[in-house]
Amino acid sequence: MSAVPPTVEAILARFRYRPDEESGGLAELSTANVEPDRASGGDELQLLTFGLGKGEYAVGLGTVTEILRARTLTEIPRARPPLLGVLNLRGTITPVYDPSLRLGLAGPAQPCAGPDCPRPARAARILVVRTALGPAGLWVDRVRGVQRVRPGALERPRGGPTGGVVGVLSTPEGSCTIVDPEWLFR
Amino acid sequence: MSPERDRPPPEFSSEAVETAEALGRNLLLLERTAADPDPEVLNSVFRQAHSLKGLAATFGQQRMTELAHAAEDLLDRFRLGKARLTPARLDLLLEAVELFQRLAEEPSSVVDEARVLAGQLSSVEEGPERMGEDPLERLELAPETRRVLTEFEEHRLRETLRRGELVWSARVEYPLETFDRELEQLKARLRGVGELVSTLPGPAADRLDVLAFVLLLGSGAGEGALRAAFAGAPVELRPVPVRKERRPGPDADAPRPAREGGEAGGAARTLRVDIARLDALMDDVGELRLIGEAIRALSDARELSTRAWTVEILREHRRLVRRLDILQDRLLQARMVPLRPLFDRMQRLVRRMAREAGKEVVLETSGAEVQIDKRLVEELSDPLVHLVRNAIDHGIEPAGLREGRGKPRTGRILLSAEQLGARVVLALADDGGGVDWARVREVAIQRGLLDEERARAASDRDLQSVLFSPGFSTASAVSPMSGRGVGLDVVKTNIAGLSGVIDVESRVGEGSTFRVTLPVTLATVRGLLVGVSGRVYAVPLSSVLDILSHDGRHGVTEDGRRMVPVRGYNIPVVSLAETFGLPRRAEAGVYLVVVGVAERRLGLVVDALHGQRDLVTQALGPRLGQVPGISGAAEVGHHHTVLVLDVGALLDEVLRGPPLLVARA
Repeated sequence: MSAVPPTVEAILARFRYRPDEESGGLAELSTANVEPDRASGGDELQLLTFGLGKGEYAVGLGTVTEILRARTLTEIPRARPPLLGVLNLRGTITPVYDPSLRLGLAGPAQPCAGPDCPRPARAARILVVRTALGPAGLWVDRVRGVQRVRPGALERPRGGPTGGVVGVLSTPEGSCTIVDPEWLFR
Repeated sequence: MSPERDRPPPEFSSEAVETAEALGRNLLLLERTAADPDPEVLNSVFRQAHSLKGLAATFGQQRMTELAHAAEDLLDRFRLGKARLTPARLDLLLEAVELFQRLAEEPSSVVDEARVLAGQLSSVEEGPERMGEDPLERLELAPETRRVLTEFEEHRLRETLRRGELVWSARVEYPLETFDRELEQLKARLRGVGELVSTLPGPAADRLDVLAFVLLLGSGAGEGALRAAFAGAPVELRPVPVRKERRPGPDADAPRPAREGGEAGGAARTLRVDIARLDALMDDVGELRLIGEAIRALSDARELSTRAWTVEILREHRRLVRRLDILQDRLLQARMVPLRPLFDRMQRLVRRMAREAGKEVVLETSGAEVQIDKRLVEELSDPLVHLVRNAIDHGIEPAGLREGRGKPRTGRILLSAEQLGARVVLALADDGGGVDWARVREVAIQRGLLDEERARAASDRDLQSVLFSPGFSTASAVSPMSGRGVGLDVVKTNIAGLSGVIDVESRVGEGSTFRVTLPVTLATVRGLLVGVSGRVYAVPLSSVLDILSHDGRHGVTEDGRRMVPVRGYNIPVVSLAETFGLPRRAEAGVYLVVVGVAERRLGLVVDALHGQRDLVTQALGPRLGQVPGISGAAEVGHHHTVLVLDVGALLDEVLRGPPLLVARA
């Protein structure tokens, strides 16, 4: 019985636009469960691409356990950037961070927590990422989709990853920076 | 023998720990009567060691089996009067109790110690067998009775005669259906007047529906008292004659005091729950199923009008909420355990530590019956051990020095627990040397914890926070002095992790009292919801003392603290909005929530009160770690998370204040 690899659309359908954002059950969408594409030798990378401001970025799909529609967070008093606030993810207090600071993007981080913040933009999402210190969220402006690439297609920074940037993927639509999520929390 | 697995199964650990604890309790009971050990207690200790051996053998725990065997063997010799129970030997047995507990949880950590101790226990030499003629030979027992007596019973009869008491023989008959209960009751009554040495089957009775017994009693009481103990039951009672007349002396032992300390539960990873409690929980679940069924039925009750349907839904909702409340209460109750096992452990610890430190110390306890959440008991152990060690190492003076100071030679530590509403206050008081606050002040300056001016101005109470700060306690140079700061920061952190606070009261020369205030349970916290700049925070109700309206007027002390008079006292106040750096709102600061821990008070200025709630609190998690002023979070309503204030930390922050503590080592 050969498993048919799910299409990108099928994967995204499972991520997006749930009637209830606390969809749960997405943990199985790790790389382990997404069969590698045999035609390409089975070593291709799956990236989740997202947008921040005008830039395009990506993290490994395997580390993302859930994508939530952005919601107002509970503010942590005296929190320092990049920490935005916390949300309660089915009983686990999950800190949410603003990746733009690490990525050197201009523009003040919008308030995302507390009663004074505006309603989050419709397209804004929180990527819940699995880390050694428990789940953590990344607040992004939009999620684009899942990209499958062969490792050779990546431009890697010379002399290993610099900072948290793992590589850059160039596509006809533009370039996309691949980052290590753990670095974004620091 | 196969090598032991690293971690024995939990069912083994919990039972072994409980048995070892009960054994330890009985050993301490024996200590009080060391010269003339209570045979009944000695017997039950022996039995406990025996069942521990059996248990360990069943689970293939070889080390524990060997150690328990050695302990059992030694206890058997005490029991039979073949060896004397001395304080040193009791120490060995108490050490074995400690090892049993560790072996039960992590056998690999103490393998060598266990082997060494087992060796020591077995090498205890036989006590010098008393010379002279065997008094038992003079006792005119019927030969058929003499034949069936066990070694232990013979030993007890000898002891009776040595004490100059009489051996009585009593023949009783009880109906077949009730004899076991009657015998138990009789034994209980006899306990007051003498020692029941042996219960033997009596010569066949005339009737078939009764059983006859012959009892052998050792007693110094008169015949009247004995007959009274039989409580009118038909009995043939006669003293067993002793050849070579010897009158019972008048100095016969007074009736033994009632025995204390049952075989109450233990403190391990697992929890024993009364089956009745589980039954009640099951009933609750059944009730919830019924409600679920009713709601499902409503979903296709098409004949109802919208209005009637709404009414029905609300009714079911109320039932549901009520039942959930009951369920929660029952679950919380099921988690509650008495402090006794913890206190017992401290008893053993004090004995050992005092011996190691070469000091004379007794530990008195009160409030061991107070119940707290199982998890709290577990987590409380380490901090308490630390405080006890501090009291013995640095608090209690050597006996000679104490006499010089006009104190009793033996130092006294009082460990007490008391429940006050939703809080439990544990206090550890010693009558030792106390904290030398002047010295604390000096050290704080030396180590740059306080600048000189502040330190001179600081009261003893202000200096408390220095005592508990990491920079102070790591100073090993302080420990040999009367300073008591060793590791207190760790204790404080541990206690704070349990939503508790610790403080100390101490006078030079008179001793110290450490007081730990904890919530009764960790599972839910009753919280007062307060509004600050549009945010909502929860204040644990256990630390709320007063709620007042606030007009914003306040005085200011020299060092810039705001003070407000509350019921005759000036207490410091702080605006939560300011402390947390929140934007000010128009309706700002109309209420004052007075929080306090021990004798410290603080007024929190808030904008609104949103009532009380039972909160299921969650930790903020390892990534966030310690967030100053916040102890956790709780969900109230759909997707609405509120933070729970850490009152202890806020008190520290405001009362100590960043300005007072200039640096951290």
